[in-house]
Amino acid sequence: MPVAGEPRIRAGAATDVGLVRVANEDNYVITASVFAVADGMGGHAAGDVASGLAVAGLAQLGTEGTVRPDDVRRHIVRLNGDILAAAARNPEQAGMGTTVTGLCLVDFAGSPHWVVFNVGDSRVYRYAEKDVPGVRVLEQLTVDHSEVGELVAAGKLSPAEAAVDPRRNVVTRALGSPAAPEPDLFVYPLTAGERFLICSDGLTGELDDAAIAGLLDREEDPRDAAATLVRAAVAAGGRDNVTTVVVDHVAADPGAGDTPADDETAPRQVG
Amino acid sequence: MEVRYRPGQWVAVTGPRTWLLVAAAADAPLVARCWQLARTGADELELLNALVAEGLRAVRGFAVAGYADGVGQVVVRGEVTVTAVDADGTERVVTAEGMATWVESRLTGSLARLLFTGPVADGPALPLDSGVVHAGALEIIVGQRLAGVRAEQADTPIEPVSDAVAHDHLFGAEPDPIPIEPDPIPVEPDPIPVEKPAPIPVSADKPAESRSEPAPEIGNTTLLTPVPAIPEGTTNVITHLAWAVADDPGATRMRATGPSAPPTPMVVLAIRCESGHWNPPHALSCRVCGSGVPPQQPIEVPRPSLGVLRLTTGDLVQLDRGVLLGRQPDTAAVDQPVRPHVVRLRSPLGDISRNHVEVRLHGWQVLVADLGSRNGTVVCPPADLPFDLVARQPVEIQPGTVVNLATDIGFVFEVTG
Repeated sequence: MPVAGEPRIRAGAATDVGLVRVANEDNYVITASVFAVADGMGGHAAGDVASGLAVAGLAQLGTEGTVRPDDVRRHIVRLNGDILAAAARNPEQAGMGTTVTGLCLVDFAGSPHWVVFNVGDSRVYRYAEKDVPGVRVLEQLTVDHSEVGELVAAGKLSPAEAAVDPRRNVVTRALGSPAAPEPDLFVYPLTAGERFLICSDGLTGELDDAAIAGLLDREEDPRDAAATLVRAAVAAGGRDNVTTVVVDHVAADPGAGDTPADDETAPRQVG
Repeated sequence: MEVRYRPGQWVAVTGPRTWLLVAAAADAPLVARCWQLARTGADELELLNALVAEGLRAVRGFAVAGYADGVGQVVVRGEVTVTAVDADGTERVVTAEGMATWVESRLTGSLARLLFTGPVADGPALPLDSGVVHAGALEIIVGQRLAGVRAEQADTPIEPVSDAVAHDHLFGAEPDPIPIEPDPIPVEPDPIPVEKPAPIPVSADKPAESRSEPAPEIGNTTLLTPVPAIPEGTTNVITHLAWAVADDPGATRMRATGPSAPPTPMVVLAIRCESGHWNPPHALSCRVCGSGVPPQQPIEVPRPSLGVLRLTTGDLVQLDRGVLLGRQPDTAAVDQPVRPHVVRLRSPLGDISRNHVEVRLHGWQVLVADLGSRNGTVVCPPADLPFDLVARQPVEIQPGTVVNLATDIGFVFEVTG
C-alpha cells in the first residue's frame, strides 16, 4: 500500500562485532517501510536469536495492507510473545531478549508519517535543520529505557554522570520480558531533507554526539554514513557490537498532496 | 588474604577489604549498593551505613567485617555469628543473640581468620576473591599479613597460620587445595548468562556488513579495568544480576528486578475499578467502562493512556503523550515534558496554521490549547455550547468533546478500554 505523496527514502546499514565480543548479537532490517535495529541479550548466541526474531517480525509490517500506529504497537507486543515462545522451546535460549528501535512509514491523517518506536536502549536520532535554517542538528528522538535513562529523566543523574555509571547498560524494557513491555511510540510527519540514524548502544558508547553529527554531515550517501559511523566506533574501542541504519528522506515529490506549499495560512472564507 | 564461602540461603558480598553475609534477596537493591561499596574498597562502616539505610527492620540479619593494616571491626545482627580466631588459636565468638539492634567488636592485629556462620550452609568451601554469591558461611584467612606482623614482634619464625590453627573448625583443617566441583550452587537458572560462549561465526547473510580488521592495540588500551580475577570454574558468581558482573561493562543486560516507575512526569495516583481499569483517585465510576470504583488507597502507577483523539480522517492518536497538530507542525512550537505525537493535517484550503493546536496531558487531565492559529479553534463540549479557544489558554476537555480546526477538520476526544 503506497503512502500518499510517495516519499523517496534511501537507507543504508552497517554492523560490526567490535573488538571485544565474540559474537554479533545485533541485527537490523530495512524494508520499503520499516527501518530498525535490535540489540540482543543472552548467552550462547541466544541474543542473536532474539534480535533476529525481532527484525524478521518487523519486516512483516506493511506486507498485509495499510499500517496504522496502533498496528505497530500491537505487532511489537506480539513479537515479545514470539520471543518468549521460542525461548520456552529451547532451554539454552531461556532468558534471551532484545531491544528494538526504529521507524515505520505509515499513512496517517492523509499524509505520510513516521512511527518512531522504541523498546530498550537503542536509539533513533534525527539529523536535520531545526531552529536555524541551513544548520543541521542532531537530536535524540527516543528515550532510553535504561536505569540511568530513567534517572536522568527524573533529574537524579546528569547526562555526564550517566555516561560512566555502571548501570548504563541495564535496560528496563526489552522484548522477551515475561510481562509484555509497553513500547514507546509516537507519530512524526515526514519532512524532506531529514536524515535519521538508528543505532545500537555500541555506537553511542564509543562516539559522542558531536562525533556522530560530524560523520553524518560528511557522508552524503546513507550507506557510506552507516559504514563510516560503525568503523569510527570500532576504532574508538569497539567494546560492543555496533550497528547503524541511516535513513534519508531525499526530496519531496513535487506532486505530493494538495497542501499549499507557501508559508501563509489562508484566511478562512466566511459565508 | 584468602576468602572462601559455603553455599547457602544468604548472600555474601566480598571486596578487597570488607566482607558481608546478609539475609537478603540476591537482587535486592541493598545487595547492589553493598557490592558497589565493597568492590571499590569501602570500609565496614560505609557498608554498615548502606545496610541500615532503609531502617533496621528492613534487614533482619547480617555480619559485616573489615580488616586492613592490622585493625578492623566486625558488626553482627540477627541469626549469624562471627568467630575471630587469633594466631595463637584463641577464638572469640561475636553474636547478637537477644540484641534488638547489633553488636560490634574490634579486630586486633593478631587476627588469623574470621568465620561467618549463617543459619544454613552446605556444600564445599569455595574460593571467592571478590563478588556476590549465595552463601551460608564465609571464611577469611588473614594468613600472610599476620605472618608479617608477628615476624616483627618476635624473632622466632612463625609457622604458617593454617598450621597454627589446625583445629576442627567450620571449614576443616585444610584450607587448600580447594575441591573444585562443577556448578555447586543451587542458584536459580541463569536467564542472562553474561560470560561469552565460544566464538560464534557471525552469519554471512547480514548485508552491507562493514568488517573492520581487528586493531588490538586500540581495543586493549581502552578496555576498562577488570576486577580481581576469580578462578574460572570454581566460583559461581551470580552472573544473572546485571550489576554483579563487573568484568563485562559493555554488555547490555535486562534488569534483574521488575519494572520500575517511569520518570516522574508520567506517574499518577490511581485507583482501580472492578474490571481493573486505572482511574483518578476520586473517581466514583470508571472512566473507561463505567463500572463502580470501590473505595481504596490510591497508589502511584505509570500513567495509562487517557484515551484517543479520533481524527476526522478516522485515524486514532493514543493519548499516552501530548499531541501537536497543524499543517506543518514543528515541536519547537510547544513545550511538553515528553516528546508529543506530531500530526500533520492536510489543509486543502490552507486554513489550518502550521502549528495550530496542542493537546497536553496534566496528571489525569486532558487539556487543549490553540497555538495562536490564524483562524482559531472551536471546542464543542458534549453537553454544552461550542466556544472559541483563546490563543495559548489551555482548557480541560471531557470525553466526547469535539475540537474543530477548520471545516471538517478536527478530532473527538474519546476514552476507550
